[in-house]
Amino acid sequence: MGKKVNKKMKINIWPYVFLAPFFIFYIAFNLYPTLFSFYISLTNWDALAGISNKKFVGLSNYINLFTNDKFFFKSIGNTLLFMVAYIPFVIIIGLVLAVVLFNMKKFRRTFQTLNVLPYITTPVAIGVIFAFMFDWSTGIVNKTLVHFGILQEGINWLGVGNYARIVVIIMLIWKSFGYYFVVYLAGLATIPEELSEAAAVDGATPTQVFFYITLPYLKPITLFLIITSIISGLQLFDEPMLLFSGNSGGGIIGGPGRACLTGALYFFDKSFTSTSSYGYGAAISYGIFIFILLFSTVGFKLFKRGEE
Amino acid sequence: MKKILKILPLLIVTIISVIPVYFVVMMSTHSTAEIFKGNIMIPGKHLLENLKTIIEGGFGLYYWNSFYTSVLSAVLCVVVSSMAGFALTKYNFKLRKKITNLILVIMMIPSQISLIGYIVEMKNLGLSNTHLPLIIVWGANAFGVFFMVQYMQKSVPNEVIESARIDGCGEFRIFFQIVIPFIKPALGTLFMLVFLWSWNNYILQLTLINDRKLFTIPLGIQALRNAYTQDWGARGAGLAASVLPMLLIFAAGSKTFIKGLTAGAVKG
Repeated sequence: MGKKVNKKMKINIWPYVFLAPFFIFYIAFNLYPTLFSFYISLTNWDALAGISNKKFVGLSNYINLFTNDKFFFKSIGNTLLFMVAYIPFVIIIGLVLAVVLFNMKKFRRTFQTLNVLPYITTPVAIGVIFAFMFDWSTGIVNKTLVHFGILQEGINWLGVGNYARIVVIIMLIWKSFGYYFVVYLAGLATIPEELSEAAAVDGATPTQVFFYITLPYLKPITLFLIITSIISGLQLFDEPMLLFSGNSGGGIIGGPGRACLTGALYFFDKSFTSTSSYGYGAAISYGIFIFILLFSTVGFKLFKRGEE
Repeated sequence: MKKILKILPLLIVTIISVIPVYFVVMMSTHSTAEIFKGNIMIPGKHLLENLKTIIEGGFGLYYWNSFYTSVLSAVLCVVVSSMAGFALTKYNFKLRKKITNLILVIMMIPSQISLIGYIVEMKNLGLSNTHLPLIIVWGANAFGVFFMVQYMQKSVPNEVIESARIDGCGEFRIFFQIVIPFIKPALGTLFMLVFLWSWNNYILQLTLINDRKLFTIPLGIQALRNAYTQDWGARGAGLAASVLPMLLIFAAGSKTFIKGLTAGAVKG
């Protein structure tokens, strides 16, 4: 009896041994800094003023953030605007083209691969590429539009708030289409063939199969894509940073009139650029997190209701 | 005819996807004057010249910095994640379910909320302006564990592990000599993903590194942009060089790579 218990104990220690590296790294370089950030968000720590001048201020950073900071809400609002503009677009095009490609035997791999390229291109490079293409005087977009007589003269894409927003939305569509596309393709592969076959036997048209079988079946994937897009949208940083840091963007973080300020850009600006207030910056990052929780919960709730 | 109509939208979208990348690669082979004339759809003759310019500007060093930090990041993440994945799929223990759920929760928490704390921690440890913070941050990647758990559940037969254990094989040997060969494809996919994420990472280097000698590619692109405001050929070469690894990764295995990319969204 005693021997048996002993053996059991011996076996039971191994999973913890194999999990140990993960949790050591997690606690040291993720959990600790996360909690430390929270503590910092309760102080008025300014990196320039030095750590000795740091004072505990309780929740005042958060109160300020949620009641008094129009840039914070602007950054959340901008993100939502981007999402509302680009997500339906990539969902529809991504899904329809995935269905088209799924029914093709040839060239499947090629189309898949080529369309994922934008998604994995170094985001910093994407910012520079788009800044180049949409440059007021030398960009290829203006040149082309003027050449074909669509415009009389070039648009100052990156210098006017609403145009800059359009550029960011185009950039998001270009960048994320491929991801939506391959995720839907992978999702289509999980639909049991018998299902659509049975429907076809019963006389359903391909359109009916699409709306009554494919679409409901892919719903969890669509929800996943929307929620992760909102999360990554709030953290959107690299591309708009580079898009507006060149000559044409005026050098303001977030673009002209801060029309393209995202949560992450605002956090970075407050913590490291226009001010060095670590305390307030940390509060912004937690504020963004609160919105992420909010959006995810609402997303799941809406989804659940649709299920019933 | 009907087939062409079906394929046409797909073709157009694909061209739009590829063109900016193609554009940049072509840019790197032209002189600035040619680029401004606008006829750069076919390769030009100035590639070597442009490469020389960026290498003189320090791009070779940035490239090396990005390359080796990304390789180390990927190795670290793959080793730690596969060990954790092994623990969570091949052992029965009390906290298994709870820890698996915890990994999922960790995966949902955005990395930004730890950023300021991490920066201060690294500064306190005397590690700012070194590459170490860019690497160790990959030591605990919840997605990596999640990915390995998903893969290992199906791909490593429990009987093989059991019989090895009966033969008196130690647990570490079971992991390294028996389990690892079974999960090689997943290790490759995760390696590629983390390599790419580390290669593309920007905000961490931006906040922690200001010594030019330690610059990585994303910082290098920004430096290049400021250094060669008029030399578009050189800029193009820098951008093309930054995109090169991902093209190579794709050539090496787009299928497994896409599988990894969709792993979080699609089960199975």
